[in-house]
Parts: sequence; C-alpha cells; structure tokens
Amino acid sequence: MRNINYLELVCPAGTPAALRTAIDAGADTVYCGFRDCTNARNYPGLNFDDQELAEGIAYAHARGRWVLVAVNTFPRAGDLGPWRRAVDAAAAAGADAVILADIGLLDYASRRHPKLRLHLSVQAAASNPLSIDFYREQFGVSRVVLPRVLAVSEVAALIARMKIEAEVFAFGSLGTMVEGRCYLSSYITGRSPSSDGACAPAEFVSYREEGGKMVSRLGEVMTNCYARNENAAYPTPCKSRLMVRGDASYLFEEPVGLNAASILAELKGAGVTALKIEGRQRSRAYVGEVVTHFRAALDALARGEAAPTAVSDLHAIAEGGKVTLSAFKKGWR
Amino acid sequence: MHDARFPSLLARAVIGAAPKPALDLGAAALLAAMRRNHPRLFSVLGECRRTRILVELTDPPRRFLLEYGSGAPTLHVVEDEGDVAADATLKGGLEAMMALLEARVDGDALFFNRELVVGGDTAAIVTLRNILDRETIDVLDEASSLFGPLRRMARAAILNWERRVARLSAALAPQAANSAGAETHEAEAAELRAEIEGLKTRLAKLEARQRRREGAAA
Repeated sequence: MRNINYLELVCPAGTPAALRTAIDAGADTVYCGFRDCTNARNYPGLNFDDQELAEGIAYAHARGRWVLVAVNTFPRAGDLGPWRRAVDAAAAAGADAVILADIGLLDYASRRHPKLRLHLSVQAAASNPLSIDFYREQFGVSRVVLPRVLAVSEVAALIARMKIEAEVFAFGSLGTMVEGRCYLSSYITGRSPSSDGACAPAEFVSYREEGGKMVSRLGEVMTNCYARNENAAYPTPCKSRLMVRGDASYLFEEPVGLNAASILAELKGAGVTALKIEGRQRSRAYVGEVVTHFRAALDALARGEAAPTAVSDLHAIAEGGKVTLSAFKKGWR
Repeated sequence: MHDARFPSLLARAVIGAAPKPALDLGAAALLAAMRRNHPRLFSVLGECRRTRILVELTDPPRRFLLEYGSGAPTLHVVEDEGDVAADATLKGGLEAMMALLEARVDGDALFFNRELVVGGDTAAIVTLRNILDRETIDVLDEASSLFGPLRRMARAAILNWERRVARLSAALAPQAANSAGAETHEAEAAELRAEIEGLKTRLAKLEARQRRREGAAA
C-alpha cells in the first residue's frame, strides 16, 4: 500500500535518468512511454525500450512508487500492431497502469490484461459524467485524466457525479485545442500528436535570425517573430503569433505554462485524487526542480501548513517564462 | 547561476587564451576520457547519422565544431570567422553550455529565456540534448580522470586555481571601473596569465608522468 501525502504527485519521465530523478525528488508515481508512435511525446532521443522500462519499474517499486505507461495516441487504420505491442509490453514489464485514449485499445487491454489497471488519457477528452461512466462500465477504467478546459468548480461538480478517481494537470504546457483531436500540426507537417505522437516535430522546426529578430517556422509557416530580449516559446501552431488585419497577436493561446500550485487546497477540496506534471519532453533538470517544489508544497499542506511560496515561482522554467491558472480560474468570464 | 561545480572562471580564461592546437588537444583528451567513462553515450552517438554541430561560445567568443555519427566523435576549434558547414548551431555562454552538458539546467528553459540560441537542424539539437540528458556527466571529473591515479590531486589543483582566479577577479572588479588603477589592473592580469600558464605546465607534467607510469606498467 502506498503512502500518499495529500494528493498523489504524478510526474513525467522522458528518459530512465528522468525517472530516477522524479522518484528521488519525491514523485508518488511516474509516467513514461515507449520509443515509438504509441505515446504522445514521440520526440527523437526520448523514451524507453522494454528493458529500460523494466529497470525503471524495478527502481520505482523498490521505493514503493508506481510507474504508468502512456499508450495514448490513436492507432492508425490497418496498423494496430505497435499499439497492441505497447500494451502487452507494459503489462509484461509490470506497469502499475496504462494510460489509454482509444476506445478500441481500451477494449483490447481490458480483455487481454483484465488485471491491468486502466487510466483514461486526457487525449480521450472525457469531460462529462456520461462519457466517464461509459469508460468505467465498459472497460473498468479506474481513473480519468481531466481535460485542461475545466474550472475548479466544474472539476468539483464532475467528480461529485462520477465513480472513479480524477487526475488533473498541475504544471506544464497547455493544450488549447480539444485534447486528442488537434490536427493543426498535421495540417502543416503531415504529422500530428494524435497519431504520430509529436506536435510540431523537431525536423520541421527552424529558428533564424532575421533583421535583428528571431523567427521561428514550422515547415514553411512562420509561427512567431521574437524581439531581441523577448521570451521565446515552442513553435506549436496553437501558440503562434498571427497577423490579423495588420496586428500580430496570440489568437488561440499565449506561450505560457500552467502552474496550479496556488490552488492545491482547492483541488483537494474538489475531490481530486492526483496531480499531473506535464513535460516528458523536458530535461531531468526540469523534472527535478518541479517535482521538488510540488513535493514540498504537498507535504506542507498535509501538515496543515501553507505551501511554500517558491512553488508558485516556477515561471522561469515554464513555457514562455510565464505561468497561468488557465481554465482553473476562468478570468475571461 | 546554474548551481555549478564546474570551474567556469578558470575554463573561461584557458579557453579564451589558449591557442587552437592546445585547445584541440585538450578537447580530444576530454572526449577520450568521456568515451571511457560513458561507453553507452558514445555508442548511441555512433548510431546517429553523421552530424556536425557548431558550438558558438559567447564568453569567451570561441567556436567549436562537434562531429559525431561516423567514427569517434571529434571536437575542434574553428578559427575562421566565416560560414562553417554545419547541420546546426548552438550559441550561448560557457556556463550555460556546461550546465546543459551536465544536465544541471533545462535546455528548453534556457531557450525560452534566450540564453541559448539554436539554428539549422532543430531535430539534431533536440536529439543530442535528449541523448546527453540520459547520462550523468561531470566535466571536472572527466578532466580529472585524465590523470589516472593522480585524479584527486589534479581535481584539487583545478579547484584551487579556480578559487585563486575568483579571488583575483573579485579584487580586479572594483579597479576595472577606476582608470587610476589601470596599471595595477594590468599587473595583476599579467600575474593571472602567468599563473594560468603555470597551471597548464603543471597539468601537462602530471599527464606526462602518468603516461610514463602507464607505459612502465604495460
């Protein structure tokens, strides 16, 4: 039985080194993926092979922690092989759960590995009780990762009507589109996060100095133009700075990272079970810093103390160098 | 800034002052040490397609060309100020580069904050970053390991010289703003250069002594 302090802290690992860093920094649970198109962070040089996963799970289990395996992209028509293999390999390695999004893959996993715990990925975009009940009843899903579009009050209302655990994002990059349904990157590059596991794949990204400014492009499409001392951001289409009627602005979302550190008590009160840190594509230095801060905050809250303010001050490591509460506090209403 | 043990002041002085042949030799020796200490890293780099990355330091302003993917990785100083045939460019300060190599800092955060500038083949940079992030590299340890059984002595010597350079830098800082202290400044800078040369000579002797011992043992 694990000893969860206040809220379960679920942390990213893009490499075995990051997994060990997350565990050592105080993660209750680490999530990772295979080195292929089956996980939504399929970037070059990242992720795990079967042996690395087995070693990572052994490292975590020896310290009483869990490892979840994300198989959270959508199988391509006529090409189920990689996705079935990933589920089977995760089960064989002793993963504590798999994080799935595709309805067919959930069906496969529940039949083939009935004892394997299933988490519903944010990529499934399940955000109402009917949908979540369906996944629970049909496949025995134990936990849902809620989309990043809900206010805290909406999270509370949803949890009150569902019968499984809820996990919410607490830190990291934001997706402004319908989770798991975004094809903006595919429109530009032919590859999408939903089926290929990579939004704005690095081989399509370029940065150039032009006229004293840094210009970023995705394929042939200019996504941003930064002044000399302006913070830069990922070149994802949803966070592009677009020219409309002569004015450049962030139409969909500014390059800014989520940081829910200041509302951890509210999330606990809403009935949330677990907090997810985004960032399997980030370094182990990022993992160590963010996990350390959140661990300290959760431990303080568990003791009835206020969370250290340092955890609210992680903007330097956030995308664009800025943080937001995003939809948790819908300030635009 | 990046929670460094790396002797950045000393390294900055040596990299800024040393001629290309000496730096090339030093880079080759460091790569050889890293190859011994991190065989998996070099195996993975060897499996990559042939890649040339131009590393542009801003402090001191020096350029290095890193090549890997065909044979043993190499690192050379580039003295020509013109265009260099490279797949990608990585530009930033020495301390940031070392922190990145040692995985003490997040490369994306450096990029967001504009401390790190990338150009050319972004996938090559991302791949290299992710490969390095799997390893635990300590450049000071790698450099010290060149001296075999004398590594602890070499490490202590390097850190001692770093402290001395730091003290001299601190002493020189207020005088640099005062033109009346220009002569003193120049004299102490000359002393600093002489001490760095002395350090290089001492390390070379240690290395030669170690080579002789290894030869005798063989």
